[in-house]
Amino acid sequence: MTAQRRSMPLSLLFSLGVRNLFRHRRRNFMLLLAISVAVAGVVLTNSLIRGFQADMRDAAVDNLTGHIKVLAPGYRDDPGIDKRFNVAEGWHDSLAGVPVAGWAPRIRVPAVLMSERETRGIELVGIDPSREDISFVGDVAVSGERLANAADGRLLLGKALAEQLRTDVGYRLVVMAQGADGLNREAGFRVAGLFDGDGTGLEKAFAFTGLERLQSMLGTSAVTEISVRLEHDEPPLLDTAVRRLRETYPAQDVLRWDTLEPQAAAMFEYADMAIFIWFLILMSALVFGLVNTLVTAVMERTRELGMLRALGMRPGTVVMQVVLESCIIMAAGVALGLLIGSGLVWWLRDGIDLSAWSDGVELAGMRSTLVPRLRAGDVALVTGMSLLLGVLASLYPAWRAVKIKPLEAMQR
Amino acid sequence: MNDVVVECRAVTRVYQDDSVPVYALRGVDFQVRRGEFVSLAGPSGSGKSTLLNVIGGLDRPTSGDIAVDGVWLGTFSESALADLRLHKLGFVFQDYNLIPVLSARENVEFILQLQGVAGSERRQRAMTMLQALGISELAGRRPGELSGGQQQRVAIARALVTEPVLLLADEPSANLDTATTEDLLDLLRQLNLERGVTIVTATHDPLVMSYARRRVQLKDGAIAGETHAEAAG
Amino acid sequence: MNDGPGAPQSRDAAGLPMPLRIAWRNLWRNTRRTALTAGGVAFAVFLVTAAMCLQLGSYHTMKETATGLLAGHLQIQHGDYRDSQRLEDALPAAAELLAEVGSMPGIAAASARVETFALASVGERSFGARIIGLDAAAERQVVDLHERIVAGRHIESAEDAVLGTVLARNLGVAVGDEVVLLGSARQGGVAVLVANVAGLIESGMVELDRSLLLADITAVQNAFDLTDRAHRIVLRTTDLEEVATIAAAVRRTLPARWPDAAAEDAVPLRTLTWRDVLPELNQAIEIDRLSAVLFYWLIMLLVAFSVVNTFIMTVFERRREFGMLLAIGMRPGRVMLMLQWEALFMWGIGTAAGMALAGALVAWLAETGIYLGADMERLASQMYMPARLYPVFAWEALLTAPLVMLAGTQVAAVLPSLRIRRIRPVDALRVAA
Repeated sequence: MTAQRRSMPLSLLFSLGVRNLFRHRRRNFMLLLAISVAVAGVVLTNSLIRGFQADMRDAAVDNLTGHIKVLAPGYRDDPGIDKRFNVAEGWHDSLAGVPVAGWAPRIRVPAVLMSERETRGIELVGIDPSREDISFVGDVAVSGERLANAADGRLLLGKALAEQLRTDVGYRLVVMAQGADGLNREAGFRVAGLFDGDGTGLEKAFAFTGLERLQSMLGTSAVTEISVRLEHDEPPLLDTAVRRLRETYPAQDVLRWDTLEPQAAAMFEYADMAIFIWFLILMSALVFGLVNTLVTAVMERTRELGMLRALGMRPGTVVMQVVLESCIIMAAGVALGLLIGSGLVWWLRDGIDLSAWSDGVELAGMRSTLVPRLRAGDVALVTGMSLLLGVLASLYPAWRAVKIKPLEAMQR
Repeated sequence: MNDVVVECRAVTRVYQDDSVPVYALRGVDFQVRRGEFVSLAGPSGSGKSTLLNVIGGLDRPTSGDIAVDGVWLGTFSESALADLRLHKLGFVFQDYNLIPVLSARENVEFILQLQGVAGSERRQRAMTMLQALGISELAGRRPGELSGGQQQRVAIARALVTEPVLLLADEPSANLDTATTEDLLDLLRQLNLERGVTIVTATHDPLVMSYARRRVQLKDGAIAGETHAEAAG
Repeated sequence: MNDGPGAPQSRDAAGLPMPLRIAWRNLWRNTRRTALTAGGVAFAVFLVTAAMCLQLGSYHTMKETATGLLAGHLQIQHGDYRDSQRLEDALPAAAELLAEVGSMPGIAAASARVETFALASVGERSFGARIIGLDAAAERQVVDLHERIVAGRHIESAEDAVLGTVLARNLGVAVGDEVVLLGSARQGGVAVLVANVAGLIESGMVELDRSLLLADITAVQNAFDLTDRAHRIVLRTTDLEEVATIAAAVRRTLPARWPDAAAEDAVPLRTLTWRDVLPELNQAIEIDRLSAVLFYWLIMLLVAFSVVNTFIMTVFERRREFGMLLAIGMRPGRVMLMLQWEALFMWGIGTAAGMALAGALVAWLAETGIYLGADMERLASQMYMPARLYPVFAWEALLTAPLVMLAGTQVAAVLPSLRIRRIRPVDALRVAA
């Protein structure tokens, strides 16, 4: 029991700290309020940034990327039917044991769409509709009909593109694209349906048709890509899947989404950093008030602390008392702030409607509704860092407290 | 000119202490005439400080009324009381209560500025007052650099510079040693005799009482007796 | 008491009126507290001002870059063209309109363009291309497109074409090769234009580099049956920040229909600013502005809290002093006013320090710029941002934080000093020293 003899028990120091805080309710309430506002602000912005990150990644993955893609070498630099490869028989056996949400073979080639009056350059995508539950095509709203199957020889267009071409469901369009032999092919397609991409650029960028139809038009049985979507995107899982796919397709490029969408990946990392910087800045703004209040609390107790020292309290215990007081108010503020912050996140659970800025939102890779996401890891980080900050902010006041000389203090 | 500076009529002051009424003053009738040097004496809780505060407009009676310089205070607003204190009364507190960030001269000048006195006149009056109290060489020092007696002199200078009709002093000797107290009391007596300053002090210091020409004894919130010491001077 | 003997002359404030003098000297009774409080104000002022300068600087660059690429500051179009992008929604009597608009006040330069989509073919390879027919000499005055030519030269004759680098690669052409453009003409029928690749252009915008094909305006007009017609009159104004005012003046001056209501082919006119032409940029700036506002207000709110705390402590510690002031006849309002002065001085010190720091940092960065890093470079170019950001001094940035903090510190001081009204001089004087 040497520890007990050497210093005051922690529980006593703790209750002393709480009582000291209650001595000055008004100013400590203000401090508590400031900490809570800071923490709530951090929690809210944090979860908004997380929501933005998730959106951006999902949008990147949804936009025909998937988590992993198999591509012919050179396709990324110069997309065309000449960069094609054959789907290996039974290839997906190689992914046995990997939780795959789905995969889709596609042909994606640049093409020209001509209506009677207008011409547009677009990307023509041959798909197997039954496999496209892994991309936005699977659940996008469509007026008219969807593509029935891979042999469907009709077109699915974006609404905005159809307006520009002045075409509609049931009309015919001429499609021009380069064939597998390098010669231009031209074919007529009827419009099956128009998809609504929420006003995003998707509506103008893509036209979809059946994969088999496109293969026969271009004179090939190959594809230009296989997109794979996993159940979740933990890095180890991605790595395993990439390794297996590379074994199956040694001659092709097997790439992860962050390689395929470097901008989204860069934005993703940038957001991670932004969360941290934001936290540091807000907490620094808080430190001024915290140190100020703690020093005052020490200075007005000069007599009392001097007396305690005279009675034999050790300097370490004095330090402990100040640090503990700082941590108590910090912990209370963090708890309140987390409560307010989670409340705000819950209140915004249906998302913030950004559709008024849909074009700008798209430029930033977001969706028109921003749903905040609160992650347990972030909450733990905010809590831990705040308490650490509480300890750091109390060091100077604690040093002042230790400097108090018992005799001088009591003579005042 | 009214010869009666202070007139108390049936002044009662009741405090509610934990819902138990405490009578600090019980129907006090009391007068101070111009030029008097009065000491209010009595043990703690006798009501002497309360009476002083009530006269000074710092506290209001529960019932009864007070007139200062012929004006009844009962209907005065807080601001009107503040103005009364500023223009007609001078205060000397037991802890001197100087403004720590101002020098001795500035402390004296400050109250003149509150009255709206112009800068050059202010400075001159303050210096004259400090000179009269024999502390003009300390004019530039701040309260922290002055001894207790010196601070009390500055406080008196501040109280008198406005030429109040009445100087109120609450335990003026409480923090002073005997020698300094005697100096202070000599000063007060001199002011009283030579300048005709009316002085009321609340004290339980016999030394202070001995200087007063009229000693009013309070007990349990009422005046218990009064002695005049014309001959004591 | 904390005041040491003989405070330095510089802190003495002897020249100030008494209440200000008291307020100023009171600040130095607790130097540490004043320093921490003013430090908080300085921190907020510094951070918000510097961030706003950087923010406005990057907006400025984004706008300059984006409008300088293709859009220009203002555009005049057929009323339906922006939404339809149709070939026939073109402005008739384009030369006349160009001359008229070009001479308007606030307009520095003007250029007409025709635009259409066509099939660009080289041998057996064909890709869809966005054809822009322009007058290269006039365009130089309006946009910086010519600065982005990475190979060859700009258009000099009716046969020249400048291709986006990715389009050229897809087509497999180099400078000097021939490219055939095939599209639909205005009145129906096939439009054919044969052009020589004179140069290659790289904008950094993936979509543009993949589809852009610049050609001579007259050649495109002839091929697509657009004689004396244009889809856009692109304008550069004398001041990008004044674009809304200039646009309003242009709208007032131009007739609602062009050439005029009497002519058979008169069309509705529409004057668009870059905000309408590049809504995504405008909105991205708006969103960024909103999130920045949240950021700034949170910081300033937190610092205001710490100022409130300082004044709570000040009022608490000086209760006796205030009680005495009230006792000698000072009205509560004047005592409170004295505290407001203290808050003002504290604000002044903090703001001066914060602004000095922010000014130094911004002045330095305005010279050297902030490099975003290689990872951000590509991302930045998609947002019309260069890899190096340069902050600018702007009134908005320089005034916001000081003014908000001024209001904040004043309110922060008022709240605790309301207590002074509740101080009863008797009680205050009774408290033991």
